[in-house]
Amino acid sequence: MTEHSSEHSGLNSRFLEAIYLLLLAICGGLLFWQLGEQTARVWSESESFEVRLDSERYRLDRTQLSWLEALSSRHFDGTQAQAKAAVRQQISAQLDASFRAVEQRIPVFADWYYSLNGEYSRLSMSVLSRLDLAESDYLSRRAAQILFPDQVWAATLQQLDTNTMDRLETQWRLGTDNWLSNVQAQLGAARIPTPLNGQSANLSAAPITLDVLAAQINALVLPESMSVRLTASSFGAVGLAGPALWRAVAARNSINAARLAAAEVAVVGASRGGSAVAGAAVCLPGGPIAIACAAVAGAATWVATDWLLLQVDEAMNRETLVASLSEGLVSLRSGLERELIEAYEQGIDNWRSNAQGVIDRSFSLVEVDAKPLRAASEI
Amino acid sequence: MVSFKVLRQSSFLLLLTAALWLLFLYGAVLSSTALGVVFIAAWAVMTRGLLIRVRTRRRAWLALYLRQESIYSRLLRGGLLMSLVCAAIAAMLTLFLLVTLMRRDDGALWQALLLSTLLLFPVQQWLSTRFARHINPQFLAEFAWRTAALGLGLCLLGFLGWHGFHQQYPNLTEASLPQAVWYFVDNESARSPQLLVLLQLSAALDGFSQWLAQQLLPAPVSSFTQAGAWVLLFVRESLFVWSFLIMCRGMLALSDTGLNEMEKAQ
Repeated sequence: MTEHSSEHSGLNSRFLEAIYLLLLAICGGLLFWQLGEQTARVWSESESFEVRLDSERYRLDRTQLSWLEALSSRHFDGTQAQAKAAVRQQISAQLDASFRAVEQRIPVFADWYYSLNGEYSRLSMSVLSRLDLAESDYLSRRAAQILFPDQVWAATLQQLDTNTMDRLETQWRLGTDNWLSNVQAQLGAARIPTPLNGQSANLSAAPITLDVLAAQINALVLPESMSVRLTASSFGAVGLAGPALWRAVAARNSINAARLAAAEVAVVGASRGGSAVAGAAVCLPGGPIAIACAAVAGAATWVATDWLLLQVDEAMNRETLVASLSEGLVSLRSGLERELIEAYEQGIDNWRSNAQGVIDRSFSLVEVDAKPLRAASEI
Repeated sequence: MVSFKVLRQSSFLLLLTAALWLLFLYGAVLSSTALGVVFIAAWAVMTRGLLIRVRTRRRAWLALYLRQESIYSRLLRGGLLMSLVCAAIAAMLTLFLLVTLMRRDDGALWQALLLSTLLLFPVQQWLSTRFARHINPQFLAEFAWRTAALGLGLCLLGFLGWHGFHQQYPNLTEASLPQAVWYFVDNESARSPQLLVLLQLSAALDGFSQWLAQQLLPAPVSSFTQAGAWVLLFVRESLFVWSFLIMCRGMLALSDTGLNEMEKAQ
């Protein structure tokens, strides 16, 4: 009985060992087979981006990429402010020089204004304008001709435009170069060597090439409309500066052109008439040549009276006229400066906006291209 | 018929290989916490294996030099200090082994490791039986284990060398050292930042050694110096095989513990 039990136990044990061996062989075989089939799972949640600059490569994560984008925006904000300051300085300096030359011509205008030539021109143009045979703004046009000679003023404005645009371009290129240098210095720790096969592994998106981005930003030009605005400026346009100045002078009521014209035609004309009659009376005892004598004497007396009146007028009002013109020039200058600065600043703002668009587009393309987050790769 | 003990020990080694392989498969997507748990478990097994080896060596030394009744036999048999030293060494070996295994995306290598582990205990048992009449019974098990581990370890190392010679490597002859290192580092990815650093360090070491091999030792072995340099490149493989076998030893010790308890219960 015991032998039978022992034999039975031994059989069971051997049977169990055989089952165990079979299971072990199956498990070992399956494992052996799978060892050659499976590959390691790849973790792809950590996004990495490549930035290229000046043939160097930099590896950044998403946080660093956002930082770079913010840094770039901040830098070009600074460039924008610097460009505006440079433009203000440039315009101010150039207008100072231009209006100094204009101011030096004020005595020339005053000389003409208080000359017989000027007097008769004003009178005749005033009469003609009353008869609708000439335009009424003769005085202002004459002021423009003397104070703002067409060619000189146009050349001055053109020079201002050219110089300011050059200054802006230099400022922008300098800003872009500084941006690249700054980025290069800040990204030093993230620099990677050139991959062996030319392409980096584990990138979440196509690389951002900052050189290309800088070239795109440098290629942005001021809107054409800005130069157009400059030449069509109500203050700066050729032929408009003079009337604008005259309006400024008239607005101060120091010399009212209309009043002057009316007074000269009515009052001054009447006194001249009286003087001429008085002069002609000298020739009454002259006999047959009395008529010719009267004409010459009357004309001479007329001119002499005019000259005398002009001398009195000049003595009384010349300084006021010159002062008013100077003040008017200051007003014109500030108006022109304001208008030019507004035009250029609008152009700079547009440029900044376009530059931001280029930056946003470059960085957003990368973010859109980035692979979606995954917990684990597919088997 | 194969004994139950052999089957049990082989099953444990099979489990060990499977666990390491699963770690290789999913290690990159595991969190740092999970990896920490895995590391501690592997560290415990490695410490156990190393401690057995060191204690056996100490026991042999004591048996050789000291009387059994001497107080020093008891004092020097190995206690806390030995355990701490073993634990420290085991931690480094475990880290090295796990990181190396996680970067070995090579089916043939894993199959070789599986075959080694399945053969390890049967060979040990066979050696134990074969040399029972010649070896001191006190050290018979250790002798059998060491001989089996040495034989299979050399076979494994030989296979790794042969396999390495027939593998395709990136051409680094034109590359600079940073390029070569980056080429290897750039391919690593892991969810755990700590693991990523370890993988990248290991990859950098790979890049350095391969660049060195291709830049400085491009020709087939032609001198003793070059041969020595090539041998140095295998030191890491040797360390890998050695640490793997120590872990197998720890695993077998765990299995032995369970077996002894079962025998005691019976």
